[in-house]
Amino acid sequence: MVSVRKYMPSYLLMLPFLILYLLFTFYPIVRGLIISLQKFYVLGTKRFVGLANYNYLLHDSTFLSSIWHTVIFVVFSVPLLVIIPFCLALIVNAPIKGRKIYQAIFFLPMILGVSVVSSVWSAMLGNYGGLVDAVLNAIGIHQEINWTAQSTQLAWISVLAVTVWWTAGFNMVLYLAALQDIPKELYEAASLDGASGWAKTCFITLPSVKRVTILIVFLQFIASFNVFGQIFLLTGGGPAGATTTIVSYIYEKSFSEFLFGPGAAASYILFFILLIVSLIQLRLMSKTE
Amino acid sequence: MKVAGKTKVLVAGVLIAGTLATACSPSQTQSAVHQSGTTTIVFWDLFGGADGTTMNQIVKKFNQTHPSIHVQEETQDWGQYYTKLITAVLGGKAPDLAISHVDHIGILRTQGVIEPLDKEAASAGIKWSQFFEPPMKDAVINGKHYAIPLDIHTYLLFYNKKVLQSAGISPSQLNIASYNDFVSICNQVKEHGYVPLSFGESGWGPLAIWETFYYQMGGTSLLNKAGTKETFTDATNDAVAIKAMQKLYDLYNTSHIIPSNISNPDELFKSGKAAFCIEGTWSVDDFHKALGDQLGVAQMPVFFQQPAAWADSHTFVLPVNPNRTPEQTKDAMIFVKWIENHAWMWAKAGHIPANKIIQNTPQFKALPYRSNYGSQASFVKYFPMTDTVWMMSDNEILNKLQGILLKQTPVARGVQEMGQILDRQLEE
Repeated sequence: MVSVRKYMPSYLLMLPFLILYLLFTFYPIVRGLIISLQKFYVLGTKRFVGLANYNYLLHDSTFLSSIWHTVIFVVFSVPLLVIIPFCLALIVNAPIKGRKIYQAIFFLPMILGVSVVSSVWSAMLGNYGGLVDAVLNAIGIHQEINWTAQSTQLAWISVLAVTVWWTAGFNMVLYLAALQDIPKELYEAASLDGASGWAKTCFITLPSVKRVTILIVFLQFIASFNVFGQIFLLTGGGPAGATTTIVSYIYEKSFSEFLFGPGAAASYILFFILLIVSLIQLRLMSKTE
Repeated sequence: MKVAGKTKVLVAGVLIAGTLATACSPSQTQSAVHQSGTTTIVFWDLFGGADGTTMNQIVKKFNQTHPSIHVQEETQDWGQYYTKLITAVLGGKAPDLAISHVDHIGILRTQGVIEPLDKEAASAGIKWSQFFEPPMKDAVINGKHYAIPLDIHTYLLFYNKKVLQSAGISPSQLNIASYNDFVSICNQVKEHGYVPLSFGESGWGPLAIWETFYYQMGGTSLLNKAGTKETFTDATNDAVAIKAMQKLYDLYNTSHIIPSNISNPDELFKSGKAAFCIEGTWSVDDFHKALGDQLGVAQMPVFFQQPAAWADSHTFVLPVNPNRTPEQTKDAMIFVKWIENHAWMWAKAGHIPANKIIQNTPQFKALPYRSNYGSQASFVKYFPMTDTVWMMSDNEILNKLQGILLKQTPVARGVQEMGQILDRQLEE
């Protein structure tokens, strides 16, 4: 009890946040768990059905393929969104003319909303008048390619390209901060020892950004698992359902078919996947400490 | 874990900036016009494009001529409309009056979103016998009326006279008496470097064409009477369903009448690069604006044995709304009755008014192209209405269909699987 009294002011300061947190984050989490165990009609009856919703999901090929699609997206997007932002950060950190402008250009897409990004890109990626096809036609490739819908591969390439263009700036900023935290003396000493630029990057820069890399990988994993907006708006989960991810599935089940039970259960399965990924990552991080 | 100091600051900065950006976005302001003695009717619809502007004008006109009633039209996005409607009812913010597709009212009723309106319609003087038969069939569930039909909107065959002429086909003698006729005309068009038929490959469009072919070939209702089981893979219909799908598949993959994956079929047709386009009545004015007198509009041709064409109807429904006063209900019905009486105004959006009487009015007859297809109302075919499934927005079915067109699933197996999916969904 002593400690409670002692830390009373801290608790009081936390209170406003705590109330909002309990109301808007904790309560929905608990409610979601309850719904995942129910046969749930929005305006009708709700009754407990045990694990029937989870069982339903495990036998639903659409759900299983949506997990697979999400894994595909994670496997391709995470490395791209680590390597490309790192390279961008190296560019804007180099003593070149106009680096501030590059910095702004690379970061700018990040401040756009997903709907803006998606509508701009779907206009550009369409055929019979889309910008990308028009450019291809101009350089002699006479094909009308509908990038977001023609084939599974092209649809994924479109989604990945748009995601990288849109979000690389955020990770770049994280890397940039880490790069600027590396003491200049290290590079000066290396120069005196006659190290090449390449050697400096490999032996000073890379080891110094190890921690922030783990952080970025971690954040990117979670973000990529939760991918939804750009897919929903660019491909609509198509062609023929080939880009439907877990979150699209949750949305479809809950808000198109109004089957909230399976929808909530799918959210919890996503939660457990992310929990396992996070635990592994924490383990890795504590090892590098 | 220690993250470098600057990183923390930057992350915090970015997060705060994000929060502020969201927090500062302007909140929706409702234009609440509250004059004394005026009842406000909140009316939800899903009309974009020509539909949207036409309904805006109708509402404006009504408000001008009825000073004691103010109809506040709120248009929601087509794709999210039913999601929003059900959440609005759930959240106690239901509109007073709303539009629904007629084959969707079964689901709205199951979900408890709408209520019967027999009494209300009767006291407003709505006469059910004035409406075309097809939409009325779905508007009644267990002997109770749940919807007042506004229109019949259906697929038509649009053509570009200039393109046909330059391909050596006289538009005035355009005669499509069979599927093979159509394909050979299209092949001739293709030889002259035009796109024969501008039509999409995803979404509900191909499903509507399949349904049209299926009924034209003499297939019987897609579901059983009780709406609990599909019947298009039954012994009697199976061959027809598969043949209809094969003919659709051929348009994309054998005769290549429809180029693969046009991202925006309407724009392609409007740009004058395509000879034909199958689109809804809602596109008549839009196309006319883009192509002028080059535009031709025809009824859905009889490709096979008998006439049939996909259609749907917009209807008025009363959402469950405990806050709606009897006065508001009465005024909402006055609005509905007024539109039904002036439905030639709605025909400006291209649709066929559900009220039969309108077709004889001089105002309707004066509209361009309308008389070309007004009689299509007698042979339209709707998607089946059920308590739980609406095929038009059923992604599982639509994905399976797209899989067939993209050659991922063989035609016959794909049709079987569509049947299985539908049966499973109807059981849920």
